[in-house]
Amino acid sequence: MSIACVKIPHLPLQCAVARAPELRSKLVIIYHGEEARPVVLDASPDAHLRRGTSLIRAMSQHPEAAVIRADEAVYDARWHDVVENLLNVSDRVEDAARGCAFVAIDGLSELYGSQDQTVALLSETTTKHGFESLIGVAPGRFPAYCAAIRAQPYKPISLPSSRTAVREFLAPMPVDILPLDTRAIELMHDFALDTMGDLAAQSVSALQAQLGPDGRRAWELVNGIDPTRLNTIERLQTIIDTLQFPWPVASMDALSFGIRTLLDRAFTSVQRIDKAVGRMDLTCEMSDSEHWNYTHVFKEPTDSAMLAHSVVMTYVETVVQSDASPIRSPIEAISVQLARLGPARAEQSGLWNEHEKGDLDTALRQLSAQLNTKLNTKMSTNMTSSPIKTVVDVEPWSRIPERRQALAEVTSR
Amino acid sequence: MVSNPRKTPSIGGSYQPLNLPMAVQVVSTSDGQPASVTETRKGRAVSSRVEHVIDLWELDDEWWRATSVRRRYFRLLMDTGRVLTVFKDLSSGEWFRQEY
Repeated sequence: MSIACVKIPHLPLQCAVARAPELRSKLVIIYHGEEARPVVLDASPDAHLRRGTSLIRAMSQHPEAAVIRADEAVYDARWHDVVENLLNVSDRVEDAARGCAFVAIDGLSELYGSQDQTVALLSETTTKHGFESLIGVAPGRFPAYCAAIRAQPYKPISLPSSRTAVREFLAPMPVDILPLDTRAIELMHDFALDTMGDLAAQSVSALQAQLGPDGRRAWELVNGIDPTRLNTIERLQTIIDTLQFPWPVASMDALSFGIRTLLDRAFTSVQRIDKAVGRMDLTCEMSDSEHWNYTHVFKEPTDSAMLAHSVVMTYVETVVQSDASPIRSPIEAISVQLARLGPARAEQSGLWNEHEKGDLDTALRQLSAQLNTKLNTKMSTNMTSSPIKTVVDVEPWSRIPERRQALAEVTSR
Repeated sequence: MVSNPRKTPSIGGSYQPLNLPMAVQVVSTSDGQPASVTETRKGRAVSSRVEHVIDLWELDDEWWRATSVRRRYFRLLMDTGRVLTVFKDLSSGEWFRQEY
């Protein structure tokens, strides 16, 4: 099996530099974690900082560094886009971690011409998203990873399929890269087995005697034996929609109305294909360019925008009241992704039906249809836009008059 | 698969601000106060003279954003007996009519 490892080194840093190019020439530290004890998520290679180092310690070592709070929702979204594009090259992709994916490329030479051309396509996929990637190709998952971390941007390393060649390639590399328990790695260093070559020179029984199952696995890996199969992801059908406010909103009423409008629209698409939603990801983009993410997995798939809205707003209200609220500034845009679309479940209707709500919905639908028809004959208006509007208080206290109220669409579901 | 519309925000008509400023032509006096206002109504320019400045106030907001809001508002009594609120955008120097 021929596997390519696509690794984007310092993905958070690359995202930060893409957003603020002036950071390119600076030493950058990106942190995350609790307010009380923030830790380093990523940093410029010149800083020689490890992930998880306390921010205070990192700043004391590099007082001149630009310190940035991590925007993990953006890093995840951009990585997701890369993985989506890798799926266009091969249908067997494992999303191992943010910034690291494995792609099965055997058999693709027939399609793309040669293995080199397939690898070039993988490289293009990340370049298209503005990332520099490292690519390693090998007959197994682990050697492919090792090849990737020794590769240079735009210079992929391809290992031959022979086990001896793989063993020779891995020999000078430190044992710390092995995907094993930290205790096992420490024990190897205690035995002066610092490189993979040192390990490969031992007999499998000796390693197994000292390290148990980890010993056997380590011996196999350093000898180029990695039968691990890729845990491939499936391309799922998703519905994504975005709502951009005309200006940043800070009121709960405006946010609630915005979320409701967005969910109504997204769930209408779900109802059209007669499905129900299992998972909802909501992302809010704030005016300071930070993002806030909320994921909800429904106990039972639903096609109700009202239920989704009440779930989101209950959470938002709780979050806003907490001291360490992630919503720190007005919100400019919200987007929702509905995933795990499955068959809709039947629901027993209540004994007391909401007659008035039903009547109102019917009236809205009829009015909307009538007005849309008239408007369409007159001026070819877009059918998807509802002609029925309502005035919503957005920031009634604002000193800027046009920020106080807005006209929003009323949609019937 | 639904293509990712994140890059092309689709809201546009769904959320429409109300009471947006409308451009007007203002002739001002040497001290910067409006002397006459010309509005466009149904494609026709209609001018009226300022009888009296009832009130004036300044608005300086969102200075933390790339484009701050800096306006000087005037509530005017026109010669037609109408009360009109106009403002001068202090960044661009343009005049607008807007209810406050």
